[in-house]
Amino acid sequence: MKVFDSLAFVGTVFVLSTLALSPAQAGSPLPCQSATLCVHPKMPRYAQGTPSIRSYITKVTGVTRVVDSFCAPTASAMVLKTLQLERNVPLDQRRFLNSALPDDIIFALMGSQGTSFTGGGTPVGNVFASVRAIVANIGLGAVQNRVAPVPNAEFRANKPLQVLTILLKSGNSAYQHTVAVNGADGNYIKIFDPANRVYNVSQTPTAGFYNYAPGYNSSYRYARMVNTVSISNYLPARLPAAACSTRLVCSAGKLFDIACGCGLSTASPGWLRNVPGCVARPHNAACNKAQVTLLK
Amino acid sequence: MRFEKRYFFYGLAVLTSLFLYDESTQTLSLIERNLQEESTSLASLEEVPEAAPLSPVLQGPLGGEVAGEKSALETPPSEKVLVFSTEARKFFEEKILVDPSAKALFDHISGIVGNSYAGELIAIYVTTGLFGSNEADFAEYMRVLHESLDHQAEDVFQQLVKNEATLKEDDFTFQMVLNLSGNLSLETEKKAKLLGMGLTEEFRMKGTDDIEFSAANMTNALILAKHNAIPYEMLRPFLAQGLAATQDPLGKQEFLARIQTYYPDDALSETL
Repeated sequence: MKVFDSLAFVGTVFVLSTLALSPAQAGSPLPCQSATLCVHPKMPRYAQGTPSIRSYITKVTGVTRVVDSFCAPTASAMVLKTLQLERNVPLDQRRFLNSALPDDIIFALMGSQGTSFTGGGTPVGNVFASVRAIVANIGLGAVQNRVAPVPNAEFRANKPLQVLTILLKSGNSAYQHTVAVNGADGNYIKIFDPANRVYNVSQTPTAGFYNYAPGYNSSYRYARMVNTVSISNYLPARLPAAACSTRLVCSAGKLFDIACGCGLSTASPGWLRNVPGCVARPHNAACNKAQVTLLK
Repeated sequence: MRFEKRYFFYGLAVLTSLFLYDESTQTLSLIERNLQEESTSLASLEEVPEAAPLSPVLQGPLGGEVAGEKSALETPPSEKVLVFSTEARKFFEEKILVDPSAKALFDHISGIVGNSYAGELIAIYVTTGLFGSNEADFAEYMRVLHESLDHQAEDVFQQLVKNEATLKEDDFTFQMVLNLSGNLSLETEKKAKLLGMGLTEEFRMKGTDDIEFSAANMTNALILAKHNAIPYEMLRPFLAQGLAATQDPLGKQEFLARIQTYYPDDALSETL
């Protein structure tokens, strides 16, 4: 119960700390870096099962025997944090993605994805549902669930953010693991593994398996893609004109313009709420101009 | 009345000095502790820190720090692992080394880095790159391995530098060496040296739209350097060497694109 109490607490801290978005930032995929490089360079690397996250869980939930199988929320945290950094938006109402501390983000996603602290593991379907709900909340992007990773050509066109679940052969057994896809480096998929590694995995499967240790005939080396949660098509949703008429000053003294007509969805109920400690100010000319441009 | 007032101020002065003494003592203790912690990384195996810092495994976001609030939860110090434990060794031997390919890789790396304790840890780390598990004992094994490597960071550094050329002969091995370099607790200059090793070779293309594994490793070196906040100036000599080694104009262009991706401000301000 303590877990849900804490999550409820996070969920009730609704803050609209909005940064201005240009229509280009919000609406189109960022370009690839070169003919062979197409990555998300702002993607952070988070590690699963660190002493700090384990003690975080213990402190918040009271669970002392924490079983570390946090790959899914950790990989999702990397991907969603990237979305925030690239699009320069504070993301959702619950604000946990604003935190600079990975533990805050990973812990919140554990709750969202139903990760078991004591038994370990996260149901794969929950990863998709959780990421979709969060992305819908900010109205930025479309989330797809698919088996195979996005092919190179499609990746270069849309540059999606992907949470990838793979089936790894480990000797005679197999297990599932979830990683973040950083992008494409030539024909290699650049993987940020929550197990604190960066891998280059060939995009060309052999009999349905991807070899992540080229040159080694190890029984551990093969991975089959099980599930891909892909965020792409960073579609903007327009704000009502009235939303552009205010400007927020938060208690920390930071000044935010509400994004005018771009990036933030009005479809998500409750996104536009007054922030405790914030007061409305008259909007500025630039804000108004941005909206006029978009509405044309 | 005047007499009582004087005693009152005397008392106040004594209390104030006690308070100031206490605070300055605390500050000195903090500095001392910080210095001790700093020297811990260079300490010998026999020295046991009382309250060692946690492993710096969490990496911050790229592209500058994001404004955010500190968590209200503070992480308590944990006991640092000094020696690769019997349990961890058992896990490695029974779960990982049983695979013939893993055994071959371990033997190969051991042959390169020698039979020292640091060398053995390097061989274990690289071999573990073939393996993964979602079991709790694997997570514990990795924690012990990382902390054992951290404790031997200086010797590990020396071994990696000394055997650079041989370790680069196999791309998967070198990929793991880069991961190890990125995670190792070392001062920035030494970490720059290790990751810089990954930038000095030719950036090899495979046709016009693909690259060799070794080139993908060069991207990894840049990613890990950026994540470890290695300043561009420290990488510059290595980058210059890599560009000089890359005669193919397309390869050079692709290498430059990667430098510009991870160090945009610096790369734009000069031509190497």
